[in-house]
Amino acid sequence: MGTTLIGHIDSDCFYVSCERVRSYTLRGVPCGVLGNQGACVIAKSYELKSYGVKTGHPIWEAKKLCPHAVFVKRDFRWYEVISRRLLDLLKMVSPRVEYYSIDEMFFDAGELQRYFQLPLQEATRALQTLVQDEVGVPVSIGIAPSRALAKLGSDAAKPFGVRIVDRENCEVFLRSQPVGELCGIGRRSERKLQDRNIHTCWDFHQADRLLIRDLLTIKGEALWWELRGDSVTPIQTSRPPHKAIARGGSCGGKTSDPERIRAWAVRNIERLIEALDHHRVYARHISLQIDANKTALWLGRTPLAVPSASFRTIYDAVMPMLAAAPQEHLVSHMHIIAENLVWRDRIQKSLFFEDAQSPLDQIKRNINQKLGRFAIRSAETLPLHEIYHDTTHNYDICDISGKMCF
Amino acid sequence: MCTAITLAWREIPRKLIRRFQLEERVIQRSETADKEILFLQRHRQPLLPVFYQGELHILPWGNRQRNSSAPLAWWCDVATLQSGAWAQYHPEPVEILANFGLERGVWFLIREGLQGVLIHDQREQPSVYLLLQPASHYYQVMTGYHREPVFLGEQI
Repeated sequence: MGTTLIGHIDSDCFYVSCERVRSYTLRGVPCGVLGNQGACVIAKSYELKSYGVKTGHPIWEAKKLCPHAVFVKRDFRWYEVISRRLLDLLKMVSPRVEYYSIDEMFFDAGELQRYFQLPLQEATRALQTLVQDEVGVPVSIGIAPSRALAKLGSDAAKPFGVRIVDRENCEVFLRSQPVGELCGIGRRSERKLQDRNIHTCWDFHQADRLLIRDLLTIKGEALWWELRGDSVTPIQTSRPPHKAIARGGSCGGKTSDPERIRAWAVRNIERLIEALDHHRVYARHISLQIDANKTALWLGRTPLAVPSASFRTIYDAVMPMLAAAPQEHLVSHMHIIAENLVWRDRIQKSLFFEDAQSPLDQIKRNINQKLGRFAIRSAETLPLHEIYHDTTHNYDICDISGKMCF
Repeated sequence: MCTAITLAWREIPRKLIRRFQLEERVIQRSETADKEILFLQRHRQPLLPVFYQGELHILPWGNRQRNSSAPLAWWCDVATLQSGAWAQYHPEPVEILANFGLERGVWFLIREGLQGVLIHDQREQPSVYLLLQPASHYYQVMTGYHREPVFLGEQI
Protein backbone atom coordinates (compact mmCIF):
# COMPACT_ATOMS: atom_id res chain seq x y z
CA MET A 1 0.00 0.00 0.00
CA GLY A 2 1.56 3.26 -1.06
CA THR A 3 1.08 6.75 0.28
CA THR A 4 1.39 10.10 -1.36
CA LEU A 5 2.67 11.83 1.77
CA ILE A 6 5.40 10.67 4.12
CA GLY A 7 6.17 12.40 7.39
CA HIS A 8 9.40 12.35 9.36
CA ILE A 9 9.31 13.30 13.01
CA ASP A 10 12.62 13.96 14.69
CA SER A 11 13.01 14.85 18.36
CA ASP A 12 15.20 17.83 19.18
CA CYS A 13 18.15 16.95 21.45
CA PHE A 14 16.23 13.84 22.49
CA TYR A 15 18.11 12.65 25.58
CA VAL A 16 18.16 16.16 27.07
CA SER A 17 14.49 16.65 26.23
CA CYS A 18 13.67 13.37 28.02
CA GLU A 19 15.52 14.60 31.10
CA ARG A 20 13.59 17.85 30.93
CA VAL A 21 10.31 15.93 30.97
CA ARG A 22 10.98 14.77 34.51
CA SER A 23 13.24 17.59 35.75
CA TYR A 24 11.54 20.90 35.11
CA THR A 25 14.55 22.81 36.45
CA LEU A 26 16.64 21.72 33.45
CA ARG A 27 14.50 23.80 31.06
CA GLY A 28 16.54 26.51 29.43
CA VAL A 29 19.69 25.31 31.23
CA PRO A 30 22.77 24.40 29.15
CA CYS A 31 22.68 20.68 29.72
CA GLY A 32 24.75 17.68 28.66
CA VAL A 33 23.95 13.99 29.06
CA LEU A 34 26.99 11.90 29.91
CA GLY A 35 27.73 8.39 28.65
CA ASN A 36 28.27 5.12 30.45
CA GLN A 37 31.38 6.10 32.34
CA GLY A 38 30.46 9.72 33.05
CA ALA A 39 33.36 11.00 30.98
CA CYS A 40 31.87 11.91 27.61
CA VAL A 41 29.01 14.10 26.46
CA ILE A 42 26.67 11.91 24.41
CA ALA A 43 23.91 14.50 23.98
CA LYS A 44 23.70 18.23 24.51
CA SER A 45 21.02 20.89 24.60
CA TYR A 46 21.01 23.69 22.04
CA GLU A 47 22.09 26.05 24.84
CA LEU A 48 25.18 23.93 25.49
CA LYS A 49 25.85 23.52 21.77
CA SER A 50 26.02 27.31 21.46
CA TYR A 51 29.11 27.26 23.70
CA GLY A 52 30.88 24.97 21.23
CA VAL A 53 30.36 21.72 23.13
CA LYS A 54 30.02 18.78 20.76
CA THR A 55 28.85 15.20 21.16
CA GLY A 56 31.85 13.12 22.21
CA HIS A 57 33.58 15.95 24.07
CA PRO A 58 35.06 14.82 27.38
CA ILE A 59 33.50 16.46 30.40
CA TRP A 60 36.69 18.28 31.40
CA GLU A 61 36.66 20.11 28.05
CA ALA A 62 32.91 20.72 28.17
CA LYS A 63 33.04 22.29 31.63
CA LYS A 64 35.76 24.66 30.46
CA LEU A 65 33.68 25.74 27.47
CA CYS A 66 30.57 26.25 29.60
CA PRO A 67 31.33 26.39 33.34
CA HIS A 68 27.68 26.77 34.36
CA ALA A 69 26.42 23.81 32.29
CA VAL A 70 24.64 21.01 34.16
CA PHE A 71 25.55 17.38 33.44
CA VAL A 72 23.16 14.48 33.79
CA LYS A 73 23.77 10.75 33.99
CA ARG A 74 22.25 8.83 31.06
CA ASP A 75 19.16 6.75 31.70
CA PHE A 76 18.43 4.72 28.60
CA ARG A 77 15.39 3.04 30.15
CA TRP A 78 13.71 6.41 30.64
CA TYR A 79 14.55 7.45 27.09
CA GLU A 80 12.89 4.25 25.86
CA VAL A 81 9.74 5.06 27.87
CA ILE A 82 9.52 8.50 26.23
CA SER A 83 10.33 7.08 22.80
CA ARG A 84 7.49 4.55 23.07
CA ARG A 85 5.09 7.28 24.23
CA LEU A 86 5.96 9.19 21.07
CA LEU A 87 5.47 6.05 18.96
CA ASP A 88 2.07 5.31 20.53
CA LEU A 89 0.90 8.88 20.00
CA LEU A 90 1.99 8.83 16.37
CA LYS A 91 0.15 5.55 15.81
CA MET A 92 -3.06 7.30 16.87
CA VAL A 93 -2.57 9.96 14.20
CA SER A 94 -1.20 7.86 11.37
CA PRO A 95 -2.27 4.49 9.94
CA ARG A 96 1.35 3.38 9.44
CA VAL A 97 4.41 4.29 11.48
CA GLU A 98 8.00 3.17 11.08
CA TYR A 99 9.99 3.10 14.35
CA TYR A 100 13.20 4.23 12.69
CA SER A 101 15.30 5.02 15.76
CA ILE A 102 14.83 6.04 19.38
CA ASP A 103 14.14 9.65 18.39
CA GLU A 104 13.07 9.45 14.74
CA MET A 105 9.98 8.00 13.10
CA PHE A 106 8.55 7.94 9.60
CA PHE A 107 4.80 7.95 9.22
CA ASP A 108 2.08 7.96 6.63
CA ALA A 109 0.96 11.59 6.65
CA GLY A 110 -1.97 11.00 4.30
CA GLU A 111 -4.50 11.14 7.12
CA LEU A 112 -3.03 14.11 8.96
CA GLN A 113 -5.37 16.75 7.53
CA ARG A 114 -8.45 14.62 8.13
CA TYR A 115 -7.37 13.81 11.70
CA PHE A 116 -6.87 17.42 12.72
CA GLN A 117 -9.47 18.87 10.30
CA LEU A 118 -6.91 21.46 9.23
CA PRO A 119 -4.85 22.30 6.13
CA LEU A 120 -1.55 20.37 5.95
CA GLN A 121 0.74 23.06 7.37
CA GLU A 122 -1.58 23.74 10.33
CA ALA A 123 -2.21 20.03 10.85
CA THR A 124 1.53 19.39 11.06
CA ARG A 125 1.87 22.24 13.56
CA ALA A 126 -1.03 20.72 15.51
CA LEU A 127 0.80 17.37 15.60
CA GLN A 128 3.93 19.10 16.85
CA THR A 129 1.93 20.81 19.61
CA LEU A 130 0.19 17.56 20.49
CA VAL A 131 3.55 15.80 20.92
CA GLN A 132 4.85 18.67 23.02
CA ASP A 133 1.76 18.56 25.25
CA GLU A 134 1.33 14.80 25.55
CA VAL A 135 4.90 13.49 25.44
CA GLY A 136 6.73 16.60 26.55
CA VAL A 137 9.52 16.62 23.98
CA PRO A 138 9.99 19.20 21.22
CA VAL A 139 10.05 17.72 17.71
CA SER A 140 10.73 18.87 14.18
CA ILE A 141 8.58 17.50 11.39
CA GLY A 142 9.11 17.19 7.65
CA ILE A 143 6.33 16.23 5.24
CA ALA A 144 7.07 15.29 1.64
CA PRO A 145 6.17 12.81 -1.08
CA SER A 146 9.20 10.63 -0.20
CA ARG A 147 11.27 9.59 2.84
CA ALA A 148 14.48 11.30 1.76
CA LEU A 149 12.69 14.61 1.20
CA ALA A 150 10.75 14.30 4.48
CA LYS A 151 13.94 13.66 6.45
CA LEU A 152 15.74 16.49 4.68
CA GLY A 153 12.76 18.70 5.54
CA SER A 154 12.72 17.90 9.25
CA ASP A 155 16.52 18.25 9.51
CA ALA A 156 16.34 21.67 7.89
CA ALA A 157 13.48 22.71 10.20
CA LYS A 158 15.40 22.00 13.44
CA PRO A 159 14.90 23.02 16.15
CA PHE A 160 11.15 22.84 16.71
CA GLY A 161 10.20 23.54 13.13
CA VAL A 162 7.90 22.19 10.48
CA ARG A 163 8.72 21.93 6.78
CA ILE A 164 6.36 20.84 4.04
CA VAL A 165 8.27 20.02 0.85
CA ASP A 166 5.98 20.07 -2.20
CA ARG A 167 6.31 20.64 -5.93
CA GLU A 168 6.09 24.43 -5.58
CA ASN A 169 8.88 24.92 -3.06
CA CYS A 170 10.99 21.86 -3.84
CA GLU A 171 13.52 23.57 -6.11
CA VAL A 172 14.21 26.49 -3.76
CA PHE A 173 14.50 24.11 -0.83
CA LEU A 174 16.85 21.66 -2.57
CA ARG A 175 19.06 24.50 -3.80
CA SER A 176 19.54 25.56 -0.16
CA GLN A 177 20.64 22.11 1.03
CA PRO A 178 24.24 20.85 0.59
CA VAL A 179 24.30 17.36 -0.87
CA GLY A 180 26.08 16.07 2.27
CA GLU A 181 22.87 16.70 4.23
CA LEU A 182 21.17 13.82 2.44
CA CYS A 183 20.78 10.75 4.63
CA GLY A 184 23.01 8.08 3.07
CA ILE A 185 25.58 10.44 1.59
CA GLY A 186 28.73 10.12 3.64
CA ARG A 187 31.94 12.12 3.29
CA ARG A 188 33.41 9.86 0.60
CA SER A 189 30.25 9.96 -1.49
CA GLU A 190 30.07 13.73 -1.00
CA ARG A 191 33.61 14.10 -2.33
CA LYS A 192 32.82 11.93 -5.34
CA LEU A 193 29.77 14.08 -6.10
CA GLN A 194 31.67 17.34 -5.62
CA ASP A 195 34.27 16.13 -8.10
CA ARG A 196 31.40 16.01 -10.59
CA ASN A 197 30.30 19.52 -9.62
CA ILE A 198 27.32 18.27 -7.62
CA HIS A 199 27.24 20.47 -4.53
CA THR A 200 23.60 20.92 -3.59
CA CYS A 201 20.66 18.56 -3.41
CA TRP A 202 19.27 20.35 -6.44
CA ASP A 203 22.45 19.55 -8.40
CA PHE A 204 21.95 15.93 -7.35
CA HIS A 205 18.31 16.08 -8.45
CA GLN A 206 19.32 17.48 -11.84
CA ALA A 207 22.21 15.05 -12.38
CA ASP A 208 22.01 12.18 -14.82
CA ARG A 209 20.49 9.10 -13.18
CA LEU A 210 23.03 6.72 -14.70
CA LEU A 211 25.90 8.91 -13.54
CA ILE A 212 24.54 8.77 -9.96
CA ARG A 213 24.11 5.01 -10.23
CA ASP A 214 27.65 4.74 -11.51
CA LEU A 215 29.03 6.85 -8.65
CA LEU A 216 26.87 5.69 -5.73
CA THR A 217 25.42 2.34 -6.81
CA ILE A 218 21.76 1.45 -6.58
CA LYS A 219 21.41 3.18 -3.17
CA GLY A 220 22.43 6.48 -4.71
CA GLU A 221 19.95 5.95 -7.50
CA ALA A 222 17.20 5.28 -4.96
CA LEU A 223 18.02 8.65 -3.37
CA TRP A 224 17.89 10.28 -6.80
CA TRP A 225 14.35 8.95 -7.31
CA GLU A 226 13.35 9.96 -3.81
CA LEU A 227 14.56 13.53 -4.34
CA ARG A 228 12.31 13.69 -7.39
CA GLY A 229 9.37 12.81 -5.17
CA ASP A 230 9.12 9.14 -6.18
CA SER A 231 8.94 7.09 -3.01
CA VAL A 232 11.25 4.11 -3.42
CA THR A 233 11.52 2.83 0.15
CA PRO A 234 8.17 2.13 1.76
CA ILE A 235 7.30 2.69 5.40
CA GLN A 236 8.13 -0.49 7.33
CA THR A 237 5.83 -1.04 10.26
CA SER A 238 7.75 -3.97 11.72
CA ARG A 239 11.42 -4.60 11.98
CA PRO A 240 12.89 -7.38 9.84
CA PRO A 241 14.62 -10.05 11.95
CA HIS A 242 18.14 -9.29 13.12
CA LYS A 243 20.97 -10.74 11.05
CA ALA A 244 23.27 -10.72 14.04
CA ILE A 245 23.23 -9.63 17.67
CA ALA A 246 26.43 -8.52 19.39
CA ARG A 247 27.29 -7.67 22.94
CA GLY A 248 30.57 -6.25 24.14
CA GLY A 249 32.46 -3.00 23.98
CA SER A 250 35.13 -1.56 26.21
CA CYS A 251 36.95 -3.83 28.65
CA GLY A 252 37.22 -0.96 31.13
CA GLY A 253 40.78 -0.13 30.12
CA LYS A 254 43.53 -2.05 28.38
CA THR A 255 44.45 -5.32 29.95
CA SER A 256 46.59 -8.38 29.34
CA ASP A 257 45.43 -10.20 32.47
CA PRO A 258 43.98 -13.53 31.20
CA GLU A 259 41.59 -13.79 34.14
CA ARG A 260 40.09 -10.36 33.46
CA ILE A 261 39.89 -11.02 29.73
CA ARG A 262 38.08 -14.31 30.41
CA ALA A 263 35.79 -12.55 32.90
CA TRP A 264 34.88 -9.95 30.27
CA ALA A 265 34.17 -12.71 27.76
CA VAL A 266 31.85 -14.46 30.22
CA ARG A 267 30.08 -11.20 31.08
CA ASN A 268 29.54 -10.53 27.37
CA ILE A 269 28.22 -14.08 26.88
CA GLU A 270 25.71 -13.52 29.68
CA ARG A 271 24.64 -10.21 28.15
CA LEU A 272 24.37 -11.86 24.72
CA ILE A 273 22.12 -14.61 26.09
CA GLU A 274 19.90 -11.93 27.65
CA ALA A 275 19.56 -10.34 24.21
CA LEU A 276 18.89 -13.68 22.49
CA ASP A 277 16.20 -14.39 25.09
CA HIS A 278 14.67 -10.98 24.52
CA HIS A 279 14.52 -11.38 20.74
CA ARG A 280 13.37 -15.02 21.02
CA VAL A 281 16.11 -16.33 18.73
CA TYR A 282 18.92 -18.91 18.78
CA ALA A 283 22.36 -18.52 17.20
CA ARG A 284 23.91 -20.88 14.68
CA HIS A 285 27.34 -19.20 14.70
CA ILE A 286 29.29 -17.43 17.41
CA SER A 287 32.04 -14.95 16.61
CA LEU A 288 34.55 -13.35 18.91
CA GLN A 289 36.19 -10.06 18.01
CA ILE A 290 39.06 -8.74 20.09
CA ASP A 291 40.34 -5.22 19.57
CA ALA A 292 43.40 -3.37 20.70
CA ASN A 293 42.50 0.31 20.90
CA LYS A 294 39.51 -0.07 18.58
CA THR A 295 41.72 -1.49 15.80
CA ALA A 296 40.38 -4.89 14.80
CA LEU A 297 42.98 -7.31 16.01
CA TRP A 298 41.47 -10.73 15.80
CA LEU A 299 38.22 -12.32 14.73
CA GLY A 300 37.23 -15.94 15.28
CA ARG A 301 34.06 -17.74 14.20
CA THR A 302 32.66 -21.04 15.41
CA PRO A 303 29.59 -22.85 14.06
CA LEU A 304 27.33 -24.43 16.68
CA ALA A 305 26.17 -28.01 16.28
CA VAL A 306 22.56 -26.94 16.79
CA PRO A 307 20.99 -23.48 17.12
CA SER A 308 21.48 -22.46 20.73
CA ALA A 309 21.22 -19.79 23.42
CA SER A 310 22.74 -21.99 26.10
CA PHE A 311 25.46 -20.55 28.31
CA ARG A 312 27.45 -23.79 28.26
CA THR A 313 27.32 -24.10 24.44
CA ILE A 314 28.31 -20.49 23.79
CA TYR A 315 30.97 -20.61 26.49
CA ASP A 316 32.45 -23.75 24.89
CA ALA A 317 32.51 -21.97 21.54
CA VAL A 318 34.07 -18.74 22.81
CA MET A 319 36.79 -20.04 25.12
CA PRO A 320 38.83 -21.94 22.48
CA MET A 321 38.67 -18.83 20.26
CA LEU A 322 39.87 -16.70 23.17
CA ALA A 323 42.72 -19.12 23.80
CA ALA A 324 43.70 -19.02 20.12
CA ALA A 325 43.72 -15.22 19.93
CA PRO A 326 47.14 -13.50 19.80
CA GLN A 327 48.22 -12.43 23.27
CA GLU A 328 51.00 -9.96 22.58
CA HIS A 329 48.66 -6.93 22.49
CA LEU A 330 46.73 -5.33 25.34
CA VAL A 331 43.01 -5.94 24.90
CA SER A 332 40.84 -2.82 25.00
CA HIS A 333 37.56 -3.95 23.43
CA MET A 334 35.80 -7.24 22.87
CA HIS A 335 32.60 -8.25 21.08
CA ILE A 336 30.77 -11.55 21.04
CA ILE A 337 28.47 -11.85 18.06
CA ALA A 338 25.60 -14.30 17.54
CA GLU A 339 25.02 -14.83 13.82
CA ASN A 340 22.81 -16.81 11.51
CA LEU A 341 19.88 -16.38 13.87
CA VAL A 342 16.80 -18.55 13.89
CA TRP A 343 13.43 -17.96 15.54
CA ARG A 344 12.93 -20.13 18.62
CA ASP A 345 9.56 -21.41 17.55
CA ARG A 346 10.90 -22.56 14.17
CA ILE A 347 13.58 -25.05 15.11
CA GLN A 348 13.46 -28.81 15.00
CA LYS A 349 14.37 -30.41 18.33
CA SER A 350 17.30 -32.78 18.14
CA LEU A 351 17.47 -36.31 19.51
CA PHE A 352 21.25 -36.24 19.66
CA PHE A 353 22.15 -32.86 21.14
CA GLU A 354 21.16 -31.13 24.31
CA ASP A 355 18.30 -28.59 24.24
CA ALA A 356 18.99 -25.07 23.00
CA GLN A 357 18.71 -23.89 26.60
CA SER A 358 19.26 -25.98 29.68
CA PRO A 359 17.04 -25.91 32.79
CA LEU A 360 19.89 -24.05 34.51
CA ASP A 361 19.74 -21.30 31.87
CA GLN A 362 16.02 -20.96 32.43
CA ILE A 363 16.36 -20.83 36.22
CA LYS A 364 19.08 -18.20 35.89
CA ARG A 365 16.90 -16.13 33.57
CA ASN A 366 13.86 -16.34 35.84
CA ILE A 367 15.81 -15.33 38.94
CA ASN A 368 17.55 -12.45 37.18
CA GLN A 369 14.25 -11.19 35.80
CA LYS A 370 12.83 -11.22 39.31
CA LEU A 371 15.80 -9.97 41.34
CA GLY A 372 17.64 -7.87 38.79
CA ARG A 373 20.31 -8.27 36.13
CA PHE A 374 23.28 -10.42 37.16
CA ALA A 375 21.72 -11.37 40.50
CA ILE A 376 22.97 -14.81 39.45
CA ARG A 377 26.03 -14.81 37.24
CA SER A 378 28.99 -17.00 36.45
CA ALA A 379 31.70 -17.13 39.11
CA GLU A 380 34.18 -16.49 36.30
CA THR A 381 33.07 -12.85 36.33
CA LEU A 382 34.37 -12.40 39.89
CA PRO A 383 37.54 -10.55 38.75
CA LEU A 384 35.23 -7.73 37.57
CA HIS A 385 34.23 -6.90 41.14
CA GLU A 386 34.44 -3.14 40.51
CA ILE A 387 31.56 -3.45 38.03
CA TYR A 388 29.29 -5.78 39.93
CA HIS A 389 29.75 -4.02 43.26
CA ASP A 390 28.95 -0.59 41.87
CA THR A 391 25.57 -0.26 40.20
CA THR A 392 26.67 2.90 38.42
CA HIS A 393 29.44 1.03 36.62
CA ASN A 394 27.31 -1.09 34.36
CA TYR A 395 28.24 -0.39 30.73
CA ASP A 396 24.56 -0.10 29.85
CA ILE A 397 23.52 0.13 26.23
CA CYS A 398 20.69 1.92 24.51
CA ASP A 399 19.02 -1.12 23.03
CA ILE A 400 15.36 -0.90 22.13
CA SER A 401 13.56 -3.65 20.29
CA GLY A 402 11.51 -2.96 17.19
CA LYS A 403 13.34 0.06 15.80
CA MET A 404 14.95 -0.04 12.37
CA CYS A 405 18.38 1.33 13.13
CA PHE A 406 20.41 2.69 16.05
CA MET B 1 33.25 17.64 48.03
CA CYS B 2 30.05 19.27 46.76
CA THR B 3 30.97 22.85 47.49
CA ALA B 4 27.73 24.41 46.29
CA ILE B 5 24.12 23.65 45.60
CA THR B 6 21.32 25.61 44.01
CA LEU B 7 17.59 25.55 44.53
CA ALA B 8 15.01 27.04 42.18
CA TRP B 9 13.88 30.50 43.25
CA ARG B 10 10.23 29.43 42.98
CA GLU B 11 10.72 26.69 45.58
CA ILE B 12 11.69 29.09 48.37
CA PRO B 13 8.99 31.16 50.12
CA ARG B 14 9.36 34.92 49.68
CA LYS B 15 9.53 35.54 53.42
CA LEU B 16 12.61 33.31 53.67
CA ILE B 17 14.20 35.03 50.67
CA ARG B 18 13.70 38.43 52.34
CA ARG B 19 14.72 37.29 55.81
CA PHE B 20 18.02 35.76 54.71
CA GLN B 21 18.66 38.28 51.90
CA LEU B 22 18.82 35.51 49.36
CA GLU B 23 18.26 37.96 46.45
CA GLU B 24 22.01 38.53 46.53
CA ARG B 25 22.55 34.88 45.71
CA VAL B 26 20.33 34.64 42.63
CA ILE B 27 21.88 33.15 39.50
CA GLN B 28 20.38 32.35 36.10
CA ARG B 29 22.10 29.95 33.70
CA SER B 30 20.43 31.33 30.58
CA GLU B 31 17.78 33.87 29.66
CA THR B 32 15.11 31.19 29.47
CA ALA B 33 16.21 29.20 32.53
CA ASP B 34 14.61 29.47 35.95
CA LYS B 35 16.28 31.71 38.52
CA GLU B 36 18.16 29.74 41.16
CA ILE B 37 19.47 30.60 44.58
CA LEU B 38 23.09 29.67 45.07
CA PHE B 39 24.21 28.20 48.37
CA LEU B 40 27.98 28.22 48.31
CA GLN B 41 30.16 26.72 50.99
CA ARG B 42 32.54 29.67 50.51
CA HIS B 43 29.88 32.29 51.23
CA ARG B 44 30.65 34.51 54.21
CA GLN B 45 27.54 33.07 55.83
CA PRO B 46 27.20 29.60 54.36
CA LEU B 47 23.56 28.46 54.43
CA LEU B 48 21.55 25.46 53.28
CA PRO B 49 17.85 25.01 52.47
CA VAL B 50 16.71 22.20 54.73
CA PHE B 51 13.46 20.31 55.11
CA TYR B 52 13.14 19.81 58.86
CA GLN B 53 10.14 19.11 61.05
CA GLY B 54 7.75 19.38 58.13
CA GLU B 55 8.85 22.73 56.71
CA LEU B 56 11.59 24.46 54.78
CA HIS B 57 14.26 26.21 56.85
CA ILE B 58 17.35 28.13 55.85
CA LEU B 59 20.04 26.97 58.28
CA PRO B 60 23.80 27.50 58.71
CA TRP B 61 25.94 25.11 56.63
CA GLY B 62 28.30 23.49 59.14
CA ASN B 63 30.03 25.36 61.94
CA ARG B 64 33.00 27.75 61.79
CA GLN B 65 32.73 29.14 65.31
CA ARG B 66 35.21 27.83 67.84
CA ASN B 67 33.02 28.86 70.77
CA SER B 68 30.29 26.49 69.62
CA SER B 69 30.10 22.93 70.86
CA ALA B 70 29.11 21.69 67.37
CA PRO B 71 31.88 20.05 65.29
CA LEU B 72 34.09 22.47 63.33
CA ALA B 73 33.24 21.06 59.92
CA TRP B 74 30.73 21.38 57.12
CA TRP B 75 30.37 17.75 56.18
CA CYS B 76 30.26 14.39 57.91
CA ASP B 77 31.23 11.01 56.57
CA VAL B 78 28.54 8.32 56.68
CA ALA B 79 31.05 5.87 58.15
CA THR B 80 31.92 8.35 60.93
CA LEU B 81 28.26 8.82 61.73
CA GLN B 82 27.63 5.09 61.74
CA SER B 83 30.62 4.49 64.03
CA GLY B 84 28.89 6.57 66.70
CA ALA B 85 31.68 9.18 66.81
CA TRP B 86 29.10 11.99 66.54
CA ALA B 87 26.59 10.40 68.93
CA GLN B 88 27.44 12.94 71.65
CA TYR B 89 26.05 15.71 69.39
CA HIS B 90 22.70 13.93 68.95
CA PRO B 91 22.58 14.35 65.16
CA GLU B 92 19.17 14.35 63.49
CA PRO B 93 18.69 13.34 59.84
CA VAL B 94 17.44 16.12 57.54
CA GLU B 95 16.78 16.52 53.84
CA ILE B 96 18.74 19.19 52.03
CA LEU B 97 16.68 20.51 49.14
CA ALA B 98 18.66 21.05 45.95
CA ASN B 99 18.28 21.01 42.19
CA PHE B 100 21.93 21.13 41.20
CA GLY B 101 25.22 20.43 42.97
CA LEU B 102 28.77 21.56 42.21
CA GLU B 103 31.81 19.35 42.55
CA ARG B 104 35.22 20.38 41.24
CA GLY B 105 33.72 22.67 38.63
CA VAL B 106 31.10 20.18 37.43
CA TRP B 107 27.44 21.01 38.00
CA PHE B 108 25.29 17.91 38.25
CA LEU B 109 21.57 17.28 38.57
CA ILE B 110 20.08 16.36 41.94
CA ARG B 111 16.66 14.79 41.47
CA GLU B 112 15.26 14.63 45.01
CA GLY B 113 17.73 16.15 47.40
CA LEU B 114 20.65 15.31 49.64
CA GLN B 115 20.93 13.72 53.01
CA GLY B 116 22.26 15.84 55.86
CA VAL B 117 22.48 15.84 59.63
CA LEU B 118 21.43 18.61 61.97
CA ILE B 119 23.18 19.34 65.25
CA HIS B 120 22.23 21.84 67.93
CA ASP B 121 25.08 23.38 69.94
CA GLN B 122 25.07 24.33 73.64
CA ARG B 123 23.03 27.46 72.83
CA GLU B 124 20.54 25.41 70.77
CA GLN B 125 21.89 27.02 67.57
CA PRO B 126 21.44 24.60 64.65
CA SER B 127 24.09 23.61 62.09
CA VAL B 128 23.56 21.34 59.08
CA TYR B 129 26.28 19.03 57.82
CA LEU B 130 26.33 17.44 54.40
CA LEU B 131 26.59 13.66 54.58
CA LEU B 132 29.31 12.22 52.35
CA GLN B 133 30.08 8.68 51.22
CA PRO B 134 32.68 7.05 48.96
CA ALA B 135 31.93 8.10 45.38
CA SER B 136 30.56 5.66 42.83
CA HIS B 137 32.69 4.97 39.77
CA TYR B 138 30.39 7.17 37.68
CA TYR B 139 30.53 10.13 40.06
CA GLN B 140 34.28 9.81 40.39
CA VAL B 141 34.81 9.87 36.62
CA MET B 142 32.32 12.71 36.18
CA THR B 143 33.75 15.00 38.85
CA GLY B 144 37.21 13.64 39.57
CA TYR B 145 36.47 13.38 43.28
CA HIS B 146 36.43 10.30 45.48
CA ARG B 147 33.56 11.30 47.81
CA GLU B 148 29.99 12.09 46.92
CA PRO B 149 26.96 13.37 48.81
CA VAL B 150 24.32 10.86 49.91
CA PHE B 151 21.59 11.33 47.32
CA LEU B 152 17.94 10.80 48.20
CA GLY B 153 16.28 8.16 46.03
CA GLU B 154 19.03 7.78 43.45
CA GLN B 155 22.61 6.77 42.88
CA ILE B 156 24.68 8.76 40.42
